[in-house]
Amino acid sequence: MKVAKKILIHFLALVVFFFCISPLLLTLLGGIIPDAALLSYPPKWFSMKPTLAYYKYIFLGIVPQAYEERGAMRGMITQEARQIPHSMMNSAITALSVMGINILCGSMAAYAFARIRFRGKSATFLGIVMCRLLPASALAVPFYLIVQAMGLLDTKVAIVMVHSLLTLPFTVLILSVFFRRIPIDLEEAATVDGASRMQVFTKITLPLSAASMVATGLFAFMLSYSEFLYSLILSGSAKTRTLSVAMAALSTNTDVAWGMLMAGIFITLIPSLILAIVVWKFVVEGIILGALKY
Amino acid sequence: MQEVKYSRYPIEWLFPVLILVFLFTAFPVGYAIWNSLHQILLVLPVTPFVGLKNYKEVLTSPYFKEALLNTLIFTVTTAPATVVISLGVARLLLTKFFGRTVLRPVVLLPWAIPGSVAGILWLWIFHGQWGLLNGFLLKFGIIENYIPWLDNSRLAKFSVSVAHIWTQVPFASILLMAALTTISQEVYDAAAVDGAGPLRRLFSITLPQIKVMLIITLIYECIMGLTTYDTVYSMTAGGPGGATTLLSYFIWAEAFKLLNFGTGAALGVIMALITFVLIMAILKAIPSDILVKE
Repeated sequence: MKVAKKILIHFLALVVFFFCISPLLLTLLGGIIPDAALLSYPPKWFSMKPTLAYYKYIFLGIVPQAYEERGAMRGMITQEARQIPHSMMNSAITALSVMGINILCGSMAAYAFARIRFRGKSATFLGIVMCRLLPASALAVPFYLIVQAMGLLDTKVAIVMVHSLLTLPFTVLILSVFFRRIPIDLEEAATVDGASRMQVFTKITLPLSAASMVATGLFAFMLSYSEFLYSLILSGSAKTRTLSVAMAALSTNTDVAWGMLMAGIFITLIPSLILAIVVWKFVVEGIILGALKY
Repeated sequence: MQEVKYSRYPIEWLFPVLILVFLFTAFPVGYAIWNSLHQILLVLPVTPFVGLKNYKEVLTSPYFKEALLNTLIFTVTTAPATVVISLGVARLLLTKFFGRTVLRPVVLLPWAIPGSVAGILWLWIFHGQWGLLNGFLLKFGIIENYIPWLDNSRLAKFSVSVAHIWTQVPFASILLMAALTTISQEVYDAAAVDGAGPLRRLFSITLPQIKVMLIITLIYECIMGLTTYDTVYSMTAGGPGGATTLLSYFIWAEAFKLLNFGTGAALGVIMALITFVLIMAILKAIPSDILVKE
């Protein structure tokens, strides 16, 4: 009975594991198998030697040999794939800015919610948290027109602003839970010594919680990195396109080689995987789950 | 115990967040309502007031009815499915087994991946000509011919739902995990002494104890189902025909493909209303003391 249960648990764990990670493994495979093998019918995926040609093209611009040999296939190479490194830069810059804004503004708001008593606290808090649930597509048109009116279309500033709005509710929620768990004694001692609330915050609370704040910031980074709709409508040219937009454009481009697409996706997923590990360790286990054990 | 003493509204702590929330929530909602009452065509400089014409146009359009029906079916199937699967995953992640530390962050992965990229991944799995699922099924001799997963309207609906559930499980699992950790082990021990079997424990202890979180998760997933966008966009682009056209995609197409901002906004308002009702339901479900104490 005990053994059967153990086997069942491990079996289920294995199923969940592959359910979640198989796309990563599949894209890894898809990116190194030549298209001719990948698209064969009946499938002969492992009939040809794996190749790094797609990666070489994306990062270095070296056109894969298979396409030089047969002129007809030349069309399968698209300039859009060459944008991946650039849009990765865009995504990184955008997400880092979002992370910075989240840490800065989010921690202040969260601290106020955790430590200050004031009227209208729940209303403000729920207002901030719940606005995140309004459907993105319903607000897409006004967002576009507002950003247009501000003259910020096709700039990173606009995307950073909108992403900050989307991620701040999460940050405020998580950080206020976290701040409330810090023992209040130190802060009280500082207050007795004559420190103002802002001094207490910057001199005591911030240094104490730096690690968790960075982790929560990474959570915002993760959400910004994967956001798609607003990035799509607010970024026009390759100059501001984030990775998720570039990848969607690539996928709807019928010219693109499938292996190229998979190579691009694998590149996209590596940061996601790293972020998932960090966020789980520090945010989910460290803050969200831990907070409720009391 | 210290006495309850209210401070004045701590605006200096909250303004960065509040400005963003106001600028990008209250203002857009108002703007969307204004837009929805006017005819807005980007090519024309004038925006004449047309009253409820946009709404009438939208509500009587057969495409809207199809999109609405699709969205409703999509939501009532994916939301409960997500909650059930997530409950299983959450329970599994709380069980001690070999490799749990590896599995836990991996579960977060589908959430960390950009939705548009997730769509491409599932497109590859379900693709009618070179999809992996077809390949495997053929290799193992389960099917004779490839199944057109995304070209048949029923199968396409199914495939899109699977992909959507996949992206939703991580967050729902975290919510339910947090709820499960609050149930004390003693209750289970006592039940075991009384001879309650696993099913009995599930229905008599676990589910009632996490009822609130179950409801919150279910409503949240309904909102996600109603508003999802990116996965479907890159998987089927609404096709075949309009079989997988969901409301949010319909709004986007109306506004940004047909450049009909007026009706797009009207659609947005309708959708925001539906969501607003659900948000109110969440607020009702949350015990008032769980988030912020005044």
